[in-house]
Amino acid sequence: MNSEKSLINLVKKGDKKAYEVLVLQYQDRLVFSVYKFLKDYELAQDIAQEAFVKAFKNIEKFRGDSSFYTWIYRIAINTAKNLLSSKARNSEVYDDEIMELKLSESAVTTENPENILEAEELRSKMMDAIQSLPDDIRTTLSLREFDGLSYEEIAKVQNCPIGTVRSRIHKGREILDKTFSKYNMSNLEINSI
Amino acid sequence: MSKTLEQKLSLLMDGEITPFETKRLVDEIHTNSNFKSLWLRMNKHKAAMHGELLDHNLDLSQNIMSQINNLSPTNSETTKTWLNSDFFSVTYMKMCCYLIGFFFILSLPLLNLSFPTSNTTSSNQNILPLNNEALLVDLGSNFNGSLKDFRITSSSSMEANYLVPGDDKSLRLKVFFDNIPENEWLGTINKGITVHTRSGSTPLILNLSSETLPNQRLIKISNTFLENK
Repeated sequence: MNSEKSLINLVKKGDKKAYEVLVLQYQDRLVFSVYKFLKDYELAQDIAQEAFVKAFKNIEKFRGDSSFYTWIYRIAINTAKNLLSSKARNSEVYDDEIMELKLSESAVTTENPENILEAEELRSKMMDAIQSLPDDIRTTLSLREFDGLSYEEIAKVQNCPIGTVRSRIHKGREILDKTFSKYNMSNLEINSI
Repeated sequence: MSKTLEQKLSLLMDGEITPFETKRLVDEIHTNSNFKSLWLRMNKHKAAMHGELLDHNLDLSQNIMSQINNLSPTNSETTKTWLNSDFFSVTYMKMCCYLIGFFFILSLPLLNLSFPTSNTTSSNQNILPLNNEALLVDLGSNFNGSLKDFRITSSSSMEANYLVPGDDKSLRLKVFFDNIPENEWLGTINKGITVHTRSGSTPLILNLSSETLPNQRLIKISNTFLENK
């Protein structure tokens, strides 16, 4: 079963609702990837947005050789590169915009900007929450999320029915959702599980 | 929100769901705001696990979908989607077919063509009225004759004049489709040589005559139709 392929097929048939599901699924990852490239959070959002619109317009060209995310990632990075090179072409005139670009270029080499730190902190909190999950649920969820195993493979590894894998993964996500729904993102405090 | 549906969102995220259920979930996410919100959160949690979440409150979907909804059909390269849109519904397509048929009938007098009679066979309908010239050129190629002119004499017959190379003389060819009643085609023939042949799968009766070509030459030409039958 390949749900992503099903979603893409729906989009190709003109189902915009299916595309919204993909946008909701991949927007954070894409913004993060573009941000790593540009080191400008606002610009990363604009580029990601543009990439999603471009991808929709060209969805017929998506053959499914790679995952949808890989495809849209390439679109986003090419859009970002085009933006940088078009700015570079006009670099003879040193106006405010160019100065901004220069700063942005220098920022590319700077490690750990504020947003990256925030992402790391969020990750750390999430890992703490995962560590607090019951053993069987944590192991099953980790095999899925970090080892990328399919449900069938997990069932073999854990020697349990595939239905158990389904319910454990769902239960784990449910607990994480409850934990993080109480989470106030402004102060990065997490409630105890 | 039902537990089953929530679990199916988890399956959707992992690509472990059938196409039918995917469609059902897409509709559910679109219509149920709580469900949509859960899908958004689940994906944020996943991004956070992998250190890819920059802003827990980020949601570009509204802006993106609004831009997509504002795309004009010409801008959109999703060329196949028109088949699925309401605008090109079956009713609309039917209406187009009726209009095309109506204008085609109106244009027949301009094309100097006629409809086959109701008792004509399907093989005849395939040839008349559109492929008549091609058929005549094809028949002429049997004796290297170049088609000078032709006319449709009835729904089942045509008459053509050819220039025969070498002799520089004219040859008249009457073509009858096989469905024509015998008395009808016999009634229009008063001279020349008549042969039964076929063009592809279509049976034909051909009558060759000439004011200038000797009978021997006509027999030779008529034999080419029999050889190629």
